[in-house]
Amino acid sequence: MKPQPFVMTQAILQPSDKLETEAVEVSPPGHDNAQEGAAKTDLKRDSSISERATLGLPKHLEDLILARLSISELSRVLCVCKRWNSLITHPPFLTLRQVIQGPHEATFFPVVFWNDGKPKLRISRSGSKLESNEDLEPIYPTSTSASANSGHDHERATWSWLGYDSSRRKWQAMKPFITPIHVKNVITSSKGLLCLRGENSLLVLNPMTGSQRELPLKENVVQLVVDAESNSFQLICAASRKRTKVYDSQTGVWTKRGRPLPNLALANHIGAYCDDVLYCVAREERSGMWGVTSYDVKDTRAWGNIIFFPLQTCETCLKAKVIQFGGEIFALVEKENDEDDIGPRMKSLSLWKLERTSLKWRSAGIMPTHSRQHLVNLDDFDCVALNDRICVLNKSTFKAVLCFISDGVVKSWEQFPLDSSMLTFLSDTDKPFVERSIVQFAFEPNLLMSL
Amino acid sequence: MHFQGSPNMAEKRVKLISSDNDEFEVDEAVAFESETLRNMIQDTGTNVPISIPNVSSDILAKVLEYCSYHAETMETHDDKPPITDAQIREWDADFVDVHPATLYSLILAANYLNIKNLLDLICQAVANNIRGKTAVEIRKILHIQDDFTYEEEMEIRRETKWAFD
Repeated sequence: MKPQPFVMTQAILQPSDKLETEAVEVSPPGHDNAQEGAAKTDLKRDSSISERATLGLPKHLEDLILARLSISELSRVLCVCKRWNSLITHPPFLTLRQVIQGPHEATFFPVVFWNDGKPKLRISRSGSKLESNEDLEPIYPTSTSASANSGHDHERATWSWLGYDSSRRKWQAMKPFITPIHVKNVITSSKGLLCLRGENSLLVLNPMTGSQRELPLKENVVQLVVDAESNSFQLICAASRKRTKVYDSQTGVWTKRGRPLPNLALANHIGAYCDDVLYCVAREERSGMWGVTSYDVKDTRAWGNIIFFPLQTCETCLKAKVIQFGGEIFALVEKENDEDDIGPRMKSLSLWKLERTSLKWRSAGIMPTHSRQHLVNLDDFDCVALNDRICVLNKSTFKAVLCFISDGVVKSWEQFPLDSSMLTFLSDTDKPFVERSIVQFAFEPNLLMSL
Repeated sequence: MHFQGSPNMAEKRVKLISSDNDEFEVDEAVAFESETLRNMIQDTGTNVPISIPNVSSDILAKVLEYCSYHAETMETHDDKPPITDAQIREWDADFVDVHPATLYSLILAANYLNIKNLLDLICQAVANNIRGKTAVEIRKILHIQDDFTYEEEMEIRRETKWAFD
């Protein structure tokens, strides 16, 4: 006798039901609930999958597909339907996306910004002063718009930007963002947030969501520290002989504590941050010798002594950058040796790793001549941690070299194939760039950070 | 229609019946790739044929093809070299190189039968598939209704114009 077939019913389908339950949380509420209900009833009545063809996929399966798209790919499909359009601001979907793609879904470096915001007073072609922007033809149709809040600062500027996606090896247009018109410079970035400086304020912003916070202007921002888990950030401002100011977004308060040692001049650029300690390049004024000084942000709020770069007596430090890479502190130092009997003046680029227990520098590598020649010159170099490499970029020639580091030592120096068509784009004088900058950070978009 | 797995006589065989009443017979190990089938078999044993009214025979055949290959990659043979990850990736890539309509049915079947790796594989394939497609094409592939007014859609297109550059 043939056994009776066992018919699968919805009740037995516990495992996929579980998935469906998770999906109910992921899908934004308020959309298509009626349709969803109807779809489920249909599935029970006649559970043939071919019937679903007219109903569309269950929402959680759509979410599983969309969670695999990059931010720009996702933005391109927002116009498919209302539910998809709401996903990009729906935290459960964004969390699912982060689970699938990992927290560092893409890194853009270099990043190029420009804005077409216009100053309040402009000189017309005839040379006369104009009182209002309305007298000028807008450069882009959406370039400036008056915000709803009237006041002296109602004008807004739209920033356009491009990032180089190093894994896909192409330039990618990034989502434009809007700031008050007086905001003129992008200072730094961390974990998806940008810090910008205006005439009378600092602005911390998530360009992907438009979420932003304006702070009173402080000079010498040296670090933006972002904690994605607690959705908070700290902004550290430090200058020679001045009290160090730290802003905490959770309390909304600036605190002043600690001063760099009086014999040190801090270099005026972004430092490196690692395990609650900030590292900044500094020069001892009396001897003129370069090194790095550190600030304990969490506990003592005090600056340490300078850790000098181990230069030979015949060598001079020309420029230095400090970066955090893989939880370690590295310094890239351009130095020049004195002319002597052996040969002429020579410039070289060395990478050192800081031994944080002994506070000593250990050589990680010296950039070989052919790599240095690839950079053309070192007048305008920058370096950032880029995925598993340190990238050294010449900002004026757009030539870059990647160094692959393992166990604190450079294993290889490779040319970074940047698409140089950007150079033509940037040098196009017809482009209405009021402000443009190629900046010294890698940008990792984050749709979840809000301010 | 019979689906032949590895000819291991010690293996228990499982009978599956598709929505259009075709019968499939596979090794238990193949059926176990599906969490849903694994739970059922552990509850009811292999004597009773399992009816899968949600999946038609062409799609079930495709799903079982995936399951038998992946069950086989788990086995070790003394006489054959093990299948490498690169070979599996290549096989998977060929497997999902099918018409979007087939992918659409497969995604539902993989979800229904709860085969996580297959679901991941197909979701990625569909994601690759809709990359660079227009909204109209995507709606057609995924059977989605356009619920925007013309003005609403134009507004979103204006806001997301940057992503098309």
